[in-house]
Amino acid sequence: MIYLKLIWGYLRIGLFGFGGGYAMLALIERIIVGNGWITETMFTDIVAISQMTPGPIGINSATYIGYVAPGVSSPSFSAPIWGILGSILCTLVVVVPSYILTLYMSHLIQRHRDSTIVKGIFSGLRPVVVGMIASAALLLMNEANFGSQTQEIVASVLICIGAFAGVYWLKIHPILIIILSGIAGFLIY
Amino acid sequence: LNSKKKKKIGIKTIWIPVVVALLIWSKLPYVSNPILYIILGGAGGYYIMERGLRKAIREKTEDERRSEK
Repeated sequence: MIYLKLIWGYLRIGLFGFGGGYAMLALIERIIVGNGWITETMFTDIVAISQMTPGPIGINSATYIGYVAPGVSSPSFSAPIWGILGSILCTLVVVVPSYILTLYMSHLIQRHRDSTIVKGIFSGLRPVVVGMIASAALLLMNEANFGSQTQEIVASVLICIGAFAGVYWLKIHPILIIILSGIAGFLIY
Repeated sequence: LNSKKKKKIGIKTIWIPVVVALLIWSKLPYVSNPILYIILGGAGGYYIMERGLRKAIREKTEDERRSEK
């Protein structure tokens, strides 16, 4: 039963995950945390792991959740083999729909580049994708990332504002910002 | 903000990402579902484009009639 739930969950992510990794975050969070497969803190950890490992966040989270969820749902599925099966299923289910859609869409866009339908749909999707990316940022501003004590929250907000200003206004490379934020975090905590 | 620039979002459409982000973040039942906004965004974009096209055709036809008279 857990495998069917995982397939249905990741099929929706694969089909409606427009706008790339960060736009998918809200959808992923809703499905995997909403179903009780993992906690909010674990979700934040997955986002961090997915950023540190190569590959898109959707696929990385599918592999991770597919491995963890069967064991969480029932102790009889705690053996690694069930986790590997879940990983393979989730990864396939999240990749295959978008692969087919992209293949079909590229063909469709080539043929109907000036079509009203295609132009209209994309012009409507653009602001929604920006909103979904913004909602991912809001979702990650949680207790797990910003802490629960006033001192922690203040330090986290200052690092967040500094990172934003560095990337957006000062045009510093994001990798350098990550390193500097890590050093700031080490010095503060 | 970088995504906003890249996606060419103007003054008329800036409210859409703000509302979408806040509603998804609110975690209210039904309205916090991102799938809803993808479907609404696609359908709404198509409807607005179609309406604009119809209006343009109607105006063109009226202009032609006027010039014939």
